[in-house]
Amino acid sequence: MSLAAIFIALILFGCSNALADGTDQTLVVGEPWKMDGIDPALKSYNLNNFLVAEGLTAISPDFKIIPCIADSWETVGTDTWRFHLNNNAKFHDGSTLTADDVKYALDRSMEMNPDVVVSLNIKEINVVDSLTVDITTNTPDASLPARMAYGRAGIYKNNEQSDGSISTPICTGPFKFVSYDQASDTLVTAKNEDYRDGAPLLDEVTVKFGISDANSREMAIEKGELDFTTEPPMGSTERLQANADLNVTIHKLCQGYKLKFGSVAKAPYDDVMVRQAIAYAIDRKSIVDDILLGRGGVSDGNALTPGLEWRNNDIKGYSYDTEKAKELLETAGWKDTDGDGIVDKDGKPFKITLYTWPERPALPLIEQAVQSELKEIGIEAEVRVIDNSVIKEHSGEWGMIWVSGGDTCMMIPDPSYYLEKQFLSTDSTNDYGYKNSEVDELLLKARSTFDQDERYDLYKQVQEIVYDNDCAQVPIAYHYLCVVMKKDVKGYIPNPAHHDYCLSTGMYRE
Amino acid sequence: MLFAYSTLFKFLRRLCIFCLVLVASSTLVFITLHSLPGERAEVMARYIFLGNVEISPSNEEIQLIKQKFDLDKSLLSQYRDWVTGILHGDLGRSYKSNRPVLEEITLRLPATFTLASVSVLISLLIGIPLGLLAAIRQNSILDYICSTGAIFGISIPNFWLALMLILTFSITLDITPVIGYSGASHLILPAITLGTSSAAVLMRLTRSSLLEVMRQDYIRTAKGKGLASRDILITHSLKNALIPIITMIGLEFGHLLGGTVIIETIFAWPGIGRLLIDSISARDIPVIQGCVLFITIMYMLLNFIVDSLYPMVDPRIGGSQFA
Repeated sequence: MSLAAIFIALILFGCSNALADGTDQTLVVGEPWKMDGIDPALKSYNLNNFLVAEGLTAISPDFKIIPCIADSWETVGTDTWRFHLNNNAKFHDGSTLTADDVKYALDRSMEMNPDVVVSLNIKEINVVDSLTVDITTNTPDASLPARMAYGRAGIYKNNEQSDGSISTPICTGPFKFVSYDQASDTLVTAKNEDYRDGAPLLDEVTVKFGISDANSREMAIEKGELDFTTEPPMGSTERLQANADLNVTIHKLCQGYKLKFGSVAKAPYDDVMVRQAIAYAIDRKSIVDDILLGRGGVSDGNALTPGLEWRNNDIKGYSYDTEKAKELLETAGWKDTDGDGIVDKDGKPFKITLYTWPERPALPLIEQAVQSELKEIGIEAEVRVIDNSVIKEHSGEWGMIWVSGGDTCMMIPDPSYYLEKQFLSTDSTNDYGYKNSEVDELLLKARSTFDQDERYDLYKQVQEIVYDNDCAQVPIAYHYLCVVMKKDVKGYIPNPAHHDYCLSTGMYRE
Repeated sequence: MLFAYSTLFKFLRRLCIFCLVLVASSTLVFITLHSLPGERAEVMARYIFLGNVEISPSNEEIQLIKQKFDLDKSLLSQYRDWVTGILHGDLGRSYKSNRPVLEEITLRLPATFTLASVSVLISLLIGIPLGLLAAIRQNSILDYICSTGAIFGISIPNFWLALMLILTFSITLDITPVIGYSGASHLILPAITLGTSSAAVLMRLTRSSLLEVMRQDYIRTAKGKGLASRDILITHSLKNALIPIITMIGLEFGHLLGGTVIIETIFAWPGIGRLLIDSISARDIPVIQGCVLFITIMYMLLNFIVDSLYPMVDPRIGGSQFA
């Protein structure tokens, strides 16, 4: 550990100085989140966003389920879907993809990743012939084709090492896996010349994961070390837009901010009038303008983002109206009897705690805005910012409210995913006591209704009940994604169905 | 012969303490991890399997994770499994990446070690000469400049310094890269950032311990003998002032090997610190344990080296290096 060691380390370090020159069709992406590993059973989500892995189906930017590895699919019996594979689908090593590979990959992912088990709802997979595979679900499930577009349902070839792990994934996407460096969390991919829909335009893509500091991402793209990155610091949008070398765009996502009550089954939120009063008290426009600074949109009362085919666009919602909120509170029995500015009922003042988490920069600010807006209608709120997996432990406190963000309604491109988690009383993710038997009935019926229009209609009814009638949750705003690219990066088509973004095959350098 | 035995005895005693510290620190970490708020399986579901910390996992998923990783077992048996693994040279696998923990750590070693070494080197090159100067020219303008500079060096938050350095050298002057780890040029800014504060500490320490030594009688004697002031400074004063400085360097180096999360995050530097912090957020217990083990061993090795250096600097401490 002496000087000699230091010098050896220095010399070795100096030798590895190889800077990739910014030649033609290459792209360097700076990604805020970490990947931490390459095994496709755990990471096919990242491989999917960077166009290496594909699923049986895919989702288009206008939210349609489109063929991918599977050409077509149909139901066989009540609980089985039959997928016909594209006979041109080839792995990156040139071999043809068969039904056995599909079974292998999905079985392995389910074995290794509990989330895949729960998200896909698969009971068993049966190979019919080399290009046909049957997937049986635990319960009759109309949403399975959509679930197969989930990033974690990527198909890959059996390339296991002796210890059972996979470190060089072989998939079918437009880009081939080249290398992954675990220490610097960097993925390199190259053009798949033999891609069935034609080769992509970029030759090589380098993805630097885990650049979690927004300032670092901003400075790195200004300096030219990155060609494509997302989410620069909130206040930097205008400054970056003024930079002639950069192209800054803001895209819609399927994500939002909302208030979620700790419990709607207990006082004070078991009274729908109290929930509505809070919904009326929120000044959504000022939150979007002053806190999200253009990177968001005002919610019309439906947490499902505009543009989704299964979205009910006739939700009336609750506009900002302090007077109406006060009236509702008063009708519900909450009056300021002792003149201290805080409403009370049966001697109990309306004092509550708001909880949020620090990772999403806008959340603590929204929390403060909500605090002062609630003050206007006589509710005193304390604000707390803690680790979000700990917040759940506080949800039993009287009057507790979650100020929540990153509320993604499209992890799986089907209404069942989000609406069941939020509003189905038997879903274990529904942890705030919401129970409406009519909603339960509609949701369960929709899951096993195979006519798409009829299904969507059922889901639209659910939205009307939960948002307008029951005010079970209070949507505030939609979150938009800020993408910063070099001026010469062209052909990027945002896909709001992906979380947070995915590259597009048509991208090229001018 | 007697000397050899007593050295061996002292060495063995040291080894025992070494092992005790290892056992104590890993046990402590194990207990702490289990008393963290938030259910472990739920946190793992968010960070590792859903890959999205903002989505609530379902109870089914939490149950599956508990089964898969034996989280339902008692704390004691989980700890026993881990210790058995260690004794067989197996640190386990990362829940997150499904790769061996040892591999995860050794992957970060070059980055961590290079950054720590260069930062310490920078602090030595700046801290000791300036400390010397300040001590020799006590109460001169030079001394005041150095001391004031040191106060700035200590008080400037290093994330701010890092951003200012990036602004100046990367954006404005366009000399160094902003992020990454692929060459000497990437090393400069993080090393300067980390080196600055320890240089300041080292400078102040050198100055004060030198001033202390220079007040001693033997220095007055040496001066009285008519020795050249350079000889007095190098052979008599500096050598005697070195003990606290060496201790300080050892501690600083150990601290840097343990990782510097903020700097590693800003520069996207793949060091141990980030690995540890990310693993703590995701409750990736095998990796956390591995990191703690590594950091503990490093600290103890450094302490051992520092202790062994004492007798070389000051023969009065002779022979007790294994004590």
